[in-house]
Amino acid sequence: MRKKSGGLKSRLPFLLIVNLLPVLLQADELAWRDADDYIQLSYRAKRKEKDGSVSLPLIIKYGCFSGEAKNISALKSLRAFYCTEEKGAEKDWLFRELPVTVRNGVGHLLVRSPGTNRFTVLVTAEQAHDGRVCFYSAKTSFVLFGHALFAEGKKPETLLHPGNRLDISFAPRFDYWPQTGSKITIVTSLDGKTSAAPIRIYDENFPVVSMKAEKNGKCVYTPPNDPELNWNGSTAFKQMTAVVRKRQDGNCYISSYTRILHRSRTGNRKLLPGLVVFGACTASLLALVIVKRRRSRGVGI
Amino acid sequence: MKFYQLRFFIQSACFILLTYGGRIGVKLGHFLPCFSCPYVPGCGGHCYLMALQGSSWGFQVPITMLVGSYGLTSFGMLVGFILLTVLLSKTWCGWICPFGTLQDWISALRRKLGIRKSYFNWDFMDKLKSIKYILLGLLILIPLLIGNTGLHQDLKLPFCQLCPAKPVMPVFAGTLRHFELNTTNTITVVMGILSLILTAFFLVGMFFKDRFFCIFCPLLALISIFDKLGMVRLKKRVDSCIGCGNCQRVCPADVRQVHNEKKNEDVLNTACMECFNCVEACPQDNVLSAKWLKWRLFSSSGKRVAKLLKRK
Repeated sequence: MRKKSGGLKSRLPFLLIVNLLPVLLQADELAWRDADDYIQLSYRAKRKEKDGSVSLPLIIKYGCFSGEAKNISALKSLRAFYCTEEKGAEKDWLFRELPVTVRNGVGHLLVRSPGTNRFTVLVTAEQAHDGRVCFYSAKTSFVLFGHALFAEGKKPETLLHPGNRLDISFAPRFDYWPQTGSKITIVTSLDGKTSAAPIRIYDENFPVVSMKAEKNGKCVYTPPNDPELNWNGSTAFKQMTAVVRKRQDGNCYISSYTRILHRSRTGNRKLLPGLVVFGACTASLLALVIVKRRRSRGVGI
Repeated sequence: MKFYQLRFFIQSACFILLTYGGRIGVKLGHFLPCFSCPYVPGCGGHCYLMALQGSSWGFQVPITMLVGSYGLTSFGMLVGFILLTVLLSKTWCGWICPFGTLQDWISALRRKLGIRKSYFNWDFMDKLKSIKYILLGLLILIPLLIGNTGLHQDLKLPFCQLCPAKPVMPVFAGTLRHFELNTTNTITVVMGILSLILTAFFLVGMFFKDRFFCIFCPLLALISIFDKLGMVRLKKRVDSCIGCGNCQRVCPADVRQVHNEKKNEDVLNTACMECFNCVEACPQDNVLSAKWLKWRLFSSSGKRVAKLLKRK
């Protein structure tokens, strides 16, 4: 026993170094990941307007996930854009500018849809410090089902190609009912080129998940079943944000993509217990009716 | 073509159209006055009760929204429903409704097996018939409470959640999905179990009693509101009626008024589903007749009854 423990003691520093080596090597990367702030879009409750249109307020938050939100006024060139699935000749997404209101250090956006429209909202900003520039972007896609009788007002004519070098998207981009338990493919690219990149997923009700996009810029994530969400109504939702960071040419690029998630519609459905309940009820009722009919000899049931 | 063959043919055609029509692009809208269940994948049109309870065209919204553009759209749906109801009146129930057709098929199976039909006494039957109006009131009230008082969202579409057509009709499209028990939370479990109990109750009921579900059908209650405007009428020449009672005996809805009416020519009753079995069974020439506006569609005939009796 003594020999064994002595052996372990002598090997302990070596084991510690072996185990900590990868952590020490990635320390800079990890510190960078946790400390760096990002901007994210956050959903508020949809409003049904009297004219039948639907409005969705969005909030632009700035800060890191664990810390308190920072004042978004600290960022330069904060701009927001939206597109409704129109593509230009170059097959690029064509955006129109969306006004941003900053109140109490938080950016506010309002997207309004008189009919059924698929929206993608993109927010970009940048910040320079220590001679490097950090480019932020936040994106989200959603569908609004408006029922206004009157046609949509004129859209602003100017179509833009917002500079968003580090892109992150979810596939499928639009989902009628985004829900827990459904696979989501996260796709990232820098200047249109895909490469491996660390991705973090922030979920309101779960610990942070670290993932890595493969060389093709893709990784697959399945949001787990959420008991807290299950207790709320079928239209209740939570938000999930995926954040990707990249460094290039001394600058850093941090992009986030937010999606709302409803509870799973299919994950909690059990066919066998349902059939057992139905079968048992049918058999009991049949027996009851037959007994009753025999007793009543043709009168009543 | 004989009357019962014609009805069987039309019912079957409507069943196929409304259950599978969506697969060939048939979209008859969201305001059909029959149980064309929206939960059937690829159905040809939707039962109006879903729209009535929902948050897109129905009452599951804040009351203030009902006055405005949303209210106009909802009203448009209601107008569509009323127009269809007025045009064909309750032939929607007796000739078109796929769930009604299924009930007729189940009753036919019982007759083939030689099992006798069940009867309720009249007082009990009258009490049961009033349940459909209570259900109609609840299916408007509960969505209003969800939209205005924060009643739990899992109670949305309350009638659809409990309607026996929801689990049964999708079986014809090859899915047992709505027999599944939703274990998401306590409300979904309770509603799921209740739905399966009610489905079993109505399936057993419709085997022993013709059109058993129609006794409780809130859509029939809603259609009955527009009875006076309906273009399809059931007329009786009261002076020529011999009071044989055939009309009462063959009625799947156990309507007595056609037999008992001694004054009024118009004998369309709230529980009647215009299957016109009574017209077919009446042995007196032209005593009972089905009319669309002024035009006679079908009349009773002594010869026909004699032929039917001979065949049997």
